Amino acid sequence: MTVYKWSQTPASNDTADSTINWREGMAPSQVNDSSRSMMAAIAKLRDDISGNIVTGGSSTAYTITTNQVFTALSSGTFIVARVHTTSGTAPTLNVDSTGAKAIASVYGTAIPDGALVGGGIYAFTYNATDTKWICHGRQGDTYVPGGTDVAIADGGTGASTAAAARTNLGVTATGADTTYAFRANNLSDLANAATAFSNIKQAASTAATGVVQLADATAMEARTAGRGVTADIQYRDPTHPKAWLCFNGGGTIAIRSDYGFASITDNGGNGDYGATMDTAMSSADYATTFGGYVPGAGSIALVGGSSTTTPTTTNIQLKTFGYNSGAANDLTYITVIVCGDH
Amino acid sequence: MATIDPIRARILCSRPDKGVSIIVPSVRCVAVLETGWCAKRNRPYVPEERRAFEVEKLMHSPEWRRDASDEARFDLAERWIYGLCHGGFAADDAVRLIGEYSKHPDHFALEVVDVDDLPTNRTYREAWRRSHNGGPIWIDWDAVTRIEERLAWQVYEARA
Repeated sequence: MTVYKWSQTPASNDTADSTINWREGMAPSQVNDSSRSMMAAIAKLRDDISGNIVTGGSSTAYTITTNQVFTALSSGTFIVARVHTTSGTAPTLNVDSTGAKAIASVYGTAIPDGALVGGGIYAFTYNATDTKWICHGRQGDTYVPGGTDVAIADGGTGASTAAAARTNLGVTATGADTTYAFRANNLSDLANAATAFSNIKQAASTAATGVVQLADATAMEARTAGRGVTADIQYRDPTHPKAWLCFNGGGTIAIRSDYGFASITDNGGNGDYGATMDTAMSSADYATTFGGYVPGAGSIALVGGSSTTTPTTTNIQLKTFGYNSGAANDLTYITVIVCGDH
Repeated sequence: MATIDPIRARILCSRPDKGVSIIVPSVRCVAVLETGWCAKRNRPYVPEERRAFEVEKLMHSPEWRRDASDEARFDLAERWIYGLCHGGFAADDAVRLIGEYSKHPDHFALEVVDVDDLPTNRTYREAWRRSHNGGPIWIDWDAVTRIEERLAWQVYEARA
């Protein structure tokens, strides 16, 4: 009792279905039987396409028992079922023990792993020519591999491969950077940021912003033009003071403030001091500037390098004098600045 | 001093003329030797890449610690520049290291003292004396007499 036995030719339906008798001259008592049997056949069809039947078997070999109970399959046989488990590789479907047939996409190709999701309802139409169950209603069926390429003017790429699409869209990748995504406007997804930056950078000038090469110690000492100077390197300029010192040479001598000096030395006599730099100069031929005074003393003090001691790369000797007396004299403010090559 | 306060620390040195020199360590330099960090530059005081170069410069400074052997000079130069690069010295050690680094080649018997251990009157600074082996400062009264005599002559000549 299945509608698939019915014919589109009325005369052929006399005895097409053994449970339905619509022969010419049939007994009146069989009319109600035939009508109820037709209703039953339609109900079976309804339930076989409602999604209520559930598959059995395994993820690669599904089975279904229909209400119509097919004994043979023909093209167009249609059922809708809920799959009990997600499909595996190259799954088959065996309906009412008519034999396992491959499940194919609407294009006749094998469906990928996991195409049928456990719990999902899918429709199957039998194709007798290919002896496959064609599954439709599956995600991804809108893609047409090998179909007609959609033109750029219609929102497509006009190509059927990724490489041809890049070419058509004017974003051709070259060299090693064939994995460019070309989708971010900040270039963060480019394969090689250094190459990308190198391609787009603009050199700076006094008239334009751009990239400036930073100076290193050698560039600072050579005063190389066009280099950027950072805070940690600016003191390497040959004109930059390398050390400075302010100390109290009277009473209990003490360093007031300094940069680049390790210590001062009270040499014993009045106004007789030494100062030692913490970093040696590259030679003893550097320049020193001295200053000194006694606040409130009403006189200008003189400071100078010691006449008896030659400066070394680390040490400076100095003497201080009262301007009026000309005699060696302790000063309460003595300053030293050193310029030269570190 | 049990614990050295870098601000109050002074380093006494005996001189061949029996006088006394007093080294005053830079507190800033002590901080550098403790931390290896220079707040004013916000970076290591001497970059590691210049460490060997700075040691070489010291070794090629003929006057610097010419009293010491080459091995001792090299060891001191290494410790000094390492401190400027990376710090790591306690304040006590940093002060002593500054003394070793700064002392005149002819001076000897270094000793770290508190500033209060020094005489406060510098009038007779030239008369300060110290034992050849170190120890506290004392006043040479014969030298004081000579200083007084010299000062008296200066006053007399100024009137003339």
